[in-house]
Amino acid sequence: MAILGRYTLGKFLIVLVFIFVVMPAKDVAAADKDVDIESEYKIKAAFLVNFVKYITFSSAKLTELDEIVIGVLGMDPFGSFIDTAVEKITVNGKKIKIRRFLNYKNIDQIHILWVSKSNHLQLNEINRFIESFQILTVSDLASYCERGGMVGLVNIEGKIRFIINEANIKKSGLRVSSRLLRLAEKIIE
Amino acid sequence: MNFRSNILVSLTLIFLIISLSYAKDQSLNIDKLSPEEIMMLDVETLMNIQVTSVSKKSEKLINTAAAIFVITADDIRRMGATSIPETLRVVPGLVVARIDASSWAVSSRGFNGRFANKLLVLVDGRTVYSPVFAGVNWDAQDTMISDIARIEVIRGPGAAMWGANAVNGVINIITKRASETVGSTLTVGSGNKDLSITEWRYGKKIDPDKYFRIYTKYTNRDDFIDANKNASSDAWQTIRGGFRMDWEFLSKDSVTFQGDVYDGQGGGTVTLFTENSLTSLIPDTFDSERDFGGGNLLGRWERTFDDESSFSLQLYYDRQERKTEVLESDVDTFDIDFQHQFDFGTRHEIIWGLGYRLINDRFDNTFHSSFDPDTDLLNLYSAFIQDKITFLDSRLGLILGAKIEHNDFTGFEFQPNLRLVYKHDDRHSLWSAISRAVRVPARSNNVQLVQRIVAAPGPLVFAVVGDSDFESEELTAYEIGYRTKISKTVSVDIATFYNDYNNLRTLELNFAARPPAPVPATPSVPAHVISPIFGDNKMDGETYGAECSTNIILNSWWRVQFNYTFLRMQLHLDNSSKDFLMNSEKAEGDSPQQQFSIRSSMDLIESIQFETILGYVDSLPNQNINNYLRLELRLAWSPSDSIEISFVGSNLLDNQHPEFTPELINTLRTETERSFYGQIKWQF
Repeated sequence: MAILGRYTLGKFLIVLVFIFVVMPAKDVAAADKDVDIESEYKIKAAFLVNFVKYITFSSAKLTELDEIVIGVLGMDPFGSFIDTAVEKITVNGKKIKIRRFLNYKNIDQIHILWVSKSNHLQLNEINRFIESFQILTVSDLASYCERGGMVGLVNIEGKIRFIINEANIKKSGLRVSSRLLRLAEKIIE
Repeated sequence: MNFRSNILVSLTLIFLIISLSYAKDQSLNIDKLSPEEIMMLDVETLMNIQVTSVSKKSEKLINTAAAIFVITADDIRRMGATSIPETLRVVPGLVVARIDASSWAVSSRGFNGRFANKLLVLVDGRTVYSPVFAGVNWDAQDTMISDIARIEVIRGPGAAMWGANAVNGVINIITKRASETVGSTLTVGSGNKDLSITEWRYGKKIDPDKYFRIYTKYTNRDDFIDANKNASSDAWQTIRGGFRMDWEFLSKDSVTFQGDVYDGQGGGTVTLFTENSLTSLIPDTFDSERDFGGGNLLGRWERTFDDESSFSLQLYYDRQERKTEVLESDVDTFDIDFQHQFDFGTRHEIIWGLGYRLINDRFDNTFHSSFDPDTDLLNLYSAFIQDKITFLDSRLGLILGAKIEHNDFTGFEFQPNLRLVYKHDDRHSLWSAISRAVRVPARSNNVQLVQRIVAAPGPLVFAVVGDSDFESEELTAYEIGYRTKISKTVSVDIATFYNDYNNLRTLELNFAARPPAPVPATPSVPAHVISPIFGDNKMDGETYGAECSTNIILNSWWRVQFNYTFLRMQLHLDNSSKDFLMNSEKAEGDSPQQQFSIRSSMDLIESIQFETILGYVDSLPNQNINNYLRLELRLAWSPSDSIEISFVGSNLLDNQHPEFTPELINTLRTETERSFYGQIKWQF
């Protein structure tokens, strides 16, 4: 390291040693693998899974499936956090599976679709495409429910709340429980 | 490391051990829950968890076709910086040097100086680049540090969007919305150099859509010392206050109204040629006091139609007053800015805008420093448009943009750019840009600054003067960058550039072009002859370099960041140039060739944070400044949710070192000393 004088290099090494001496205050093995996911999206992922409990699907194709399939469309904000999180849990007695789609045209048998913010230019096309399926759409895009979505997550004073477009949900033949409606920040009928 | 550093290290360790044993558990923190546990929470619980909405920067950044670095509120808190320039030291590509207690040299990609004129700085959309001095008066820039939401630093030209003077970079300092600062925060701190810093903020929700906050801040910083340990007279004191109100209507409109007032004092020991020197022929050395003050009011209305369209209208008024023994100035700025953003078809994201700025200045001239005319009214008109066109399922983005401005000195300026970003997948993205930017002259065209007086046979005064033929300095910049997430925990951001400068400012002493002019005696000033050292554009140059930032998340409680900056600057005077007195070409030795920093941020346990920043700055050959290493340590302990106690040690590796020599105004160079600082922050 020619850029550092010998004396400077010495100082540098002492500091490095110091950092590494102070360091092992915690068990490195206990590392949380998913720290790069912001807490906001951990909460949003939990909402997504929770919604399954309050929605009744009537499509035979979906009710026959022995798992609940959650689709993530576009740029995935949940990372592997959501996969790890649903690995061991069941909802209504069924396991949960996460599928990812880069193109909305590949969407087929899923129960819930998370529409990532990266899809904002194609929202109309996406809504049209999935009209033929029975899918609960959820997103944190601004004014999502006003733009044809079913459940919109909003951040109100740092807390995650949701808006429900009941009309859109009914149109697709899904039924939403009154308990969930009661908790909604706003209902669009 | 000497004896005192060893004591410091031991004390730090002792404190650590004691606090570890006192730490107490905290309430529901979702970072402590396992992924399955989070999934098992019911809707009611989920609805009541406070999330820290730390900007979607990782998602956004990978899509950006520019060298951008974001300092978050969390970074600022962890670093324990007490002033805005200190927070910028960790940014790759920036050079931050403290000239003395109250002045700074901050620049991006070279050309550093106290009057660094190629870096644009905005605070909440209000420019703080002084159109008079062509630079930023860092002594007057501050706010409640814990209310800063983030600082976005863009290296390289930002002129196509932000306009002239965004040549080598743009710094956007963004404060939190009033809805994010509800409650009171009182911070009290003291140390051996930062003698006393107190800041207090009170925020309140007026009704569900309306929030406001007020703050006040007092700072008192001690004099720095010179190489011989004599104190200078550069102590820095400021007092300021401000408010911010945010309304949101129907999730469509938001209106912000904010303002600040401030008053402060800096100084330094200066050695200047004044009117006394006309008879004595030697400069006067005296302790100069610098008083500054000002205020601003800003209003902004933003309307979002949906994610596809929004506009904003912003108006502000800003006043800056400065007074020293050699010059007094008042500058009033009025600015109006409109921006509209919409999607066109499925491929185009378009932003366009219009702006107008009116600047009114007034100077009280002295023999040493004067402006002619001593008051002026300047107009700046601007318009810009940018189109982002996406291809390949939005993976390829082409950005075309340009800004046209008209200023009163050089007329129309056209500043276009072309950017390309390719996102291979969520892990890799590549970007490139070609841009043109200019640094416009403004009031420096009318300045006269006395530099030297000699006997020849009567008093002959050499003075730097502006020149009405002085043109804008021009840059064509070529940039390539690459961002990658090597794994879930390691991300790397590399930016490289080649900057080609034309028409750089030189200071010519050419008797044939501008002969010495006699000035007759007045009652206060004896007769003398002025030989102008006039501004001209007889220098070209190129700079190239690379910046690399690596983030490593070692585990849930420890992350490390490595930043490295390499810069080469080469300046070339034209053959016809007679810039031999001011040595403009030597400015290439005013910016360090290499810099690196290692930052380690640890949550030792939930209530204890430990931050280490080790920074290296290369020597400045033009200023006889050696390379130096800076070590900063911060230990913070939160015994409860509402109290944080922290200790900061800065420059721990040496007793003192100089960081920069001030240019143009001959000021005693002072040195940065080892310093300690303790602070208590109480939120209620």
